[in-house]
Amino acid sequence: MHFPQKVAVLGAGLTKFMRRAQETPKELAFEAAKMALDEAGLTIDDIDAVVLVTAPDAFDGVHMNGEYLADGAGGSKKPYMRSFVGGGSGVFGIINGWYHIASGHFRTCLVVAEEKMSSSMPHPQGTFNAIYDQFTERPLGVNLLWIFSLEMNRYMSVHKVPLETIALVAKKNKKNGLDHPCTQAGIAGDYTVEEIVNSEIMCWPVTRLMVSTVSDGAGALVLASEDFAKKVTDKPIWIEGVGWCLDTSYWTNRDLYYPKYVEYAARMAYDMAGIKDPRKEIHVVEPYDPFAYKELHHLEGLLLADKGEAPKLLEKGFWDRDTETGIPSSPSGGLLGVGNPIAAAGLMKVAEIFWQVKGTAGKRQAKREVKRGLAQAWGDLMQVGTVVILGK
Amino acid sequence: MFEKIEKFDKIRVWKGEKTGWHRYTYGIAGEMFFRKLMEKKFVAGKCPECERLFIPPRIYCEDCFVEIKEFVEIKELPRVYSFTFLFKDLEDNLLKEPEIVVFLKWDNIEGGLIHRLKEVNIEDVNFGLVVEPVFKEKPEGNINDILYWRPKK
Amino acid sequence: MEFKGKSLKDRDFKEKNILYTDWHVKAHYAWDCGVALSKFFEGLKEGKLYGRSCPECGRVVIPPRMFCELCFKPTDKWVLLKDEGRINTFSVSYVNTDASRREKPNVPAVIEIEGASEGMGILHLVAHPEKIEWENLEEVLSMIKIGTKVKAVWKPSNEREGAITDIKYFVPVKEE
Repeated sequence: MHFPQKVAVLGAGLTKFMRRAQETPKELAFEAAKMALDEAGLTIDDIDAVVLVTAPDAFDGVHMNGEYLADGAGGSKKPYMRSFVGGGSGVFGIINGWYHIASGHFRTCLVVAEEKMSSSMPHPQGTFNAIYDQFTERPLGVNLLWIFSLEMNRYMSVHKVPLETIALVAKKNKKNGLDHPCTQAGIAGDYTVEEIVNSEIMCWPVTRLMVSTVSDGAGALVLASEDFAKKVTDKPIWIEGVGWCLDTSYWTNRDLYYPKYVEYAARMAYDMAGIKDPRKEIHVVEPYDPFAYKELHHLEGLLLADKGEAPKLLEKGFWDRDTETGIPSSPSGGLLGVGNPIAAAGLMKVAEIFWQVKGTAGKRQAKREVKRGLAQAWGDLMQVGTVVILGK
Repeated sequence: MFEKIEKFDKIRVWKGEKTGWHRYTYGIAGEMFFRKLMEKKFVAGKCPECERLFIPPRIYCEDCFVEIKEFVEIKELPRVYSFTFLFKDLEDNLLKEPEIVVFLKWDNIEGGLIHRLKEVNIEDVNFGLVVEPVFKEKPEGNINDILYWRPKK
Repeated sequence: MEFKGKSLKDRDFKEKNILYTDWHVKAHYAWDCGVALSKFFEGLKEGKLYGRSCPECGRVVIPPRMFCELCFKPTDKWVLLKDEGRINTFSVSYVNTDASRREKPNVPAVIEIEGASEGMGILHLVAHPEKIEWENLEEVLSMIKIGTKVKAVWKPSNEREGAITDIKYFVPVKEE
């Protein structure tokens, strides 16, 4: 496949992740966008187009939230687009930004992700429940945890994975999160497997420490064409591959043990990047981890482990940040260790891969050499996979 | 392809509602603006680059996309920039007397406020009319701390 | 690099350290059930579960729909299904729909319906066969597994309204 322009990432920005931020959604968007521009060494005048991602309007509580956020995201008087695939939005925004530039139509694109879930009262659950079918599901008294615990039980049962093994994901990510400057207060920590397994049962098999939290936050990335990037940096980081795929919303008709749509998205990105053997050619990965089992589920969907093998590799430390022979997974701390302001959390994962490939992830930098990494997000009704591969 | 519906009692609807409510913080700039309003003062944010002033203030200039750190008190009064007369309430009932909604702008300041105008004859409402705020006795930190505006006395 | 953000505590709201405003909106909806689900709900009122079949791939799907999302062709037949099936997956929920805690759990499950194609499940609740209410996690796990056979328990016919809740819940049944 030929695209008129290669696309580079020039800078990234994040706000802290918080349970309740004082900033308005616009202010959060501005802080992240400004930071990304600063790292790129650019001003808003250098930006040709803006892409914004945020999850349902009902979290921020602003109807047409994309339009509301436009000026805070740097989109005032510019070609501006809002896109949305639920939890998959953070990475989907980068994909949208990518084709703005790959098409040859724009030199640069600022991608901003924002979420202020704390506005939703008494709890964002009321908004989440609207994802279920209003005729056949909602009247049963649903909550968001159901769908995850149903999928987790299916995954665990098909592959016979013990709860203690899945808890290792939370242990790893919550520990990694201690080193992230944006970590939400009270989330990261050095937990034992026992503490995680024995924490309050939310919706068995999901316990409290295996779920990410509600958060406020924003993130941003500056993308540019090859022609533009080469003028401002000697060492651009490239978007080598993108992929996305959506499965049917008849989720009770699918076997939830395996995310086929993630595999399709990954294959699309690998093909584009010319990757034949992802287990050798991907050096660091940020899979979407709103729940502990999700990371394993996604590592398998990304073809980085055989079906049912990700938990065994986890036990061996294959996904640890300091692995020398494995692939570090969620070195940022992920959603479990940093926080989960939905769209911003997905973008945080791309920002982490950018800093990892650039070699500026500081305390979080993977021990092994990183030339290429992958970020993936997931969302909607157990339904969408979005993948971005960055490389030197 | 679809079955023709002949009996309308077969058409089914399922009723539901969106539950929940929202709590908004005023943000960094909003907090400052409304705290000052409680002291019966108006502040504008000043962009360090283009030097324009903004009301309500914000922490960034959306055109220069730089942080705004300077906030200045505005002592001048605003003018009516546009207006409309409301004759009916939200339930479609005729109002006893028309309500006047105005868009107020300060000279040489970007933005403005939407509010109510009272103590005025409808015939006298016009563009450029200088107005002054009438404040609530006990301010609560919201836009209704201004009860309404009236022509400058 | 400076990462910004001013984090607030619940206290800041209670003690009015910061300004905020609340907005209550009431949004009421009346969703048309559409062609397929209207028939499905008529069936439930009569104590029957209907699926729909695709002439192309031959799948019998439930919940019924007027199109096959795989073949992208209209489905063309109503198929009467049994009101029993097997648990495809289940969970044990201590959280209510409004995120508050439950003292005793309920058990949402995906139930593959007998007579539909393999893997065709619907979401519903599984109750204790005698006491209805489950005591705790251990009790559920001792009686239910993935693959357990379950049967629908219907509301009395005069109480049915043509809704998914016309099936009160499913209960585990002994294998013959």
